[in-house]
Amino acid sequence: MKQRQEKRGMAYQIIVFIFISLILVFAAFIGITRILFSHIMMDNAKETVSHLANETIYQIENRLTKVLDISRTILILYHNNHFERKKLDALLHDLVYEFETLEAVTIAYAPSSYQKGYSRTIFHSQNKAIYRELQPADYQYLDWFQIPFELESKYWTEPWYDANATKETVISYCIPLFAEGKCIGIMRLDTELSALQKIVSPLKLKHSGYAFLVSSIGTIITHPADSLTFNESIFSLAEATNDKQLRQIGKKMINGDIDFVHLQNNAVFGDSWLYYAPLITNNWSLGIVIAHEDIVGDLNLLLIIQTLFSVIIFLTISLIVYYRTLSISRPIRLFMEVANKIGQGDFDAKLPSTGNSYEIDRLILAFETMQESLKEYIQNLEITIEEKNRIEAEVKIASEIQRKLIPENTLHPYGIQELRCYGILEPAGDIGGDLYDFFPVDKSHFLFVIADVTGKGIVASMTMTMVSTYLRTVSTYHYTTGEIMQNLNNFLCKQTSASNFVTALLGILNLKNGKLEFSNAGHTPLIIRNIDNDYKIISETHSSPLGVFANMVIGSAAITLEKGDEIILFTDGITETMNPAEDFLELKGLENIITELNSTNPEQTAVQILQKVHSFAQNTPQKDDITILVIDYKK
Amino acid sequence: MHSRQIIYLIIALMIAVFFFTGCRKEKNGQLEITPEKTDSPEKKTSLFTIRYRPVWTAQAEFAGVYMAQKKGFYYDKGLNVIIQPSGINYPPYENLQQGYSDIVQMSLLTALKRDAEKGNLINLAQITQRTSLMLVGKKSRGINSIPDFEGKKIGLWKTDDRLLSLIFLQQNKLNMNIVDLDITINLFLKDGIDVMNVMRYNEYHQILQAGIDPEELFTISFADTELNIADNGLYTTREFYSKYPKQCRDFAAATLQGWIYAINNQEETVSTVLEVMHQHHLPANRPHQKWMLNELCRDITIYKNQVGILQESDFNKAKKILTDQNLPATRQTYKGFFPQ
Repeated sequence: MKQRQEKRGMAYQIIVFIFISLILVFAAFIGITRILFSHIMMDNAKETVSHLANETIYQIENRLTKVLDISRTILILYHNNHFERKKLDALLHDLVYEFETLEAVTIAYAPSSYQKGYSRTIFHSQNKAIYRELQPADYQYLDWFQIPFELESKYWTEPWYDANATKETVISYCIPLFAEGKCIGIMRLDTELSALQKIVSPLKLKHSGYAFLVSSIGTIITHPADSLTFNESIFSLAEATNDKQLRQIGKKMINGDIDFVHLQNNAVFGDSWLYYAPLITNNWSLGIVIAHEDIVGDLNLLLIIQTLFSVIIFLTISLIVYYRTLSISRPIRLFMEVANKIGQGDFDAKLPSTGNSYEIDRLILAFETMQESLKEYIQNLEITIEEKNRIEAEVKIASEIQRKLIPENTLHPYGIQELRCYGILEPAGDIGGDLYDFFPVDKSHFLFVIADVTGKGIVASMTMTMVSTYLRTVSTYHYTTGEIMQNLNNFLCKQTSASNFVTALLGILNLKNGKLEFSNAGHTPLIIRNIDNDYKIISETHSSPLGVFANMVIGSAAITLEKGDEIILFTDGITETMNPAEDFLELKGLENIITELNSTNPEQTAVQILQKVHSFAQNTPQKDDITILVIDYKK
Repeated sequence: MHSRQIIYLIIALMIAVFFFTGCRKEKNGQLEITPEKTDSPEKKTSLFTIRYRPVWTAQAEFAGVYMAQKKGFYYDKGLNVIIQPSGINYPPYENLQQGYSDIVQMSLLTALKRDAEKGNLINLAQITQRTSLMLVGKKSRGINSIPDFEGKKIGLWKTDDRLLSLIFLQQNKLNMNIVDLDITINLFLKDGIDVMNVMRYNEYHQILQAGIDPEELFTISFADTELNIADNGLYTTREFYSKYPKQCRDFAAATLQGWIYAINNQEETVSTVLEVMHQHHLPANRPHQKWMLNELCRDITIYKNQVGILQESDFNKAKKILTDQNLPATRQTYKGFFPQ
């Protein structure tokens, strides 16, 4: 399984990538080569075939034009000597004997013209001159006579077998003879067909290319398959194979067109190319057939070689990549093991000494640096954790000390029967910035205070400790809340930074007559709840928070409590409690809570308020210290 | 050494060629088509010999005779049929009357006309029941309708087969310059004539095989006109028929049997026809012979269950055509002319 993952890793991906890239590159290369070269090869084939055809046509035309040339001489001889028949015949025989291209000469008269018509054929056979005469019935309906006679124009015959004279298959050039503007007969010059066939038949092209001749009416004159010669025409072949394209080609051939056409899967010629061009002299057509395979054979071979070459290149590259990636992945595998060890805490695990490439060497170096940094980091972390633990222990002690500064809840504090007190302080952290305190100033006066130091943590806690301690000291010398607050303000201004200010509400209750004097320095309002569960909010403040501006004159207010009145003090931790929808409880929310209270002593009041506040917060984390102090008078 | 081997090889090949060609010549002289089945030699010696001469050179026009010969239908009737050389130089009527042939093939019109001379022709079987004769003209030569014929050159066979064409010209009051034709269509192809008479089964298809499309031709098929009459039949003289009536009837029956076989086995028949043509060194191609056989099959089977019967109406119609034109015609009655 592990082995397989390695294969599917780097080596596999690179080889697949190379394979796809090579396929694309070679496919494009082979495709372009095929397109470009097939055009070039077609052009070359066409050029080669047309050269061959022109050369062949030139040879055939050469023979035919020789006949034409001789015909002019013979015509002159005829016109000069036709009254001296023996002399003319001797001359004609000499010409036939002299010119290899000329097989026989015939002079034939129409029955209506000269001595009721007759023909004589002059040829040379077995070393002697032969003169063969025929009566009109024997020739007047034969093509060689009738066609030029009716057309009164020169005519090249289709191949025909002269059974009466030379006993050869010939083609004849026939010229009308005129006397006094009237056609009286035909002069016929025969040339051997076999001589023309000998020019065409040996033609070979590549493996299977060959040439064939088609007459002016489509008859096949020469073809490598002898059975076709004279039996078939290009049109009968087309009909036999129901090939309309071939019939059209045949029509073009006898029409004297030139073309190079692809015969796809042709029943007669196979998958091949046909070049055809006319013989101008007698309107025949020469066709050259070359198998498509012969034309593109070399190209296909080239493409096969290219493909094989591509495969070999691919295999070679794959092998190289495979072994190279294996050697590269070896140190990477070692890295993996080292990384696992480091992950398990062994920072001294040994790294491979050297890699096989620059990148791997750099990686080893980077890994070493990382290992060192990690080691150092972990050491620093250990020191930091130690320090943190120590600080935490100290904070815990500070927290305990702070908690001891808060008076313990007893039913009648300091044994004072006129009132009951109950306070709750829930710090947001280990140590808080809220404070409440109460103590008798003298036998008839009872001082209470609730304060909130801005900020949290150590600084707030220290400030709170200072406030608590200072209050106890200063209240010994001053009896009005304003004075005490002014002293406290000045003290705080000297001792603390401006950022640590304190809101506070300080009151002194006359136990005898219920008169309550209080000063509010930027703190939340004071709530008085009477025995009928009505309540009164006293929002009046007498200064800005303490510790900001020195030498502030701080005033006070006084009210008289009725029996059973409850003083409810709290910090902004209550009104700024947030629910999950991030809504604050606010003073309004607290008023609602107070309305629903059914408490009969300060403890119940404080606990019920705290419960309601918690149920409003619905486990939303507490951001600020929460402090509630409830005092009831003469209950 | 190498060239000597080649010379030996050439000599050996030449000997082989001479040997085979020699054999073939001998075979040609005696028997053209070898029957597939032969019985005992005794029966062979008692065979009655009939010399049959076709009206034209070997082609599918005579396929029924070739197949009757090949399949042994003649042999089964105790006949030894010799298919005689044929063509332009062997006119059937003359050959028959001069005793060179026992049975010949002729067209009905020719037979009725020539019988005016001796009145001794007997029709043994009427092979084709309608004429295949057509007139064709090249549209490129301005022939697009019958009136276009006027004043143009028409090529007609120099034999009696031109009769119907001449009657057609006369009926249509067409004045044309007639050029006598022998066998080829080349004068027409080379525009030496504007119109030509052709047989649908033969020359018409040759024209198509010379690269001219049917759309390029204007054609009149006589089978579609009132000049449609039966064509090829088997004929003998009354003298021969009186002497050998059974053999004559057997020959006709076997020939028709050969035709039925040909109609039902056309591919095989065409192959046989091509073989015969090759034996006679005649140019031949399969599509043409196939076309010819197909056309003849249609001409033969015009009347259901009447294969080989000369219809009295055809006899009378042909006779009337001749007399209407003041041409000589047989004086025989239908029953006398067609005794079966």
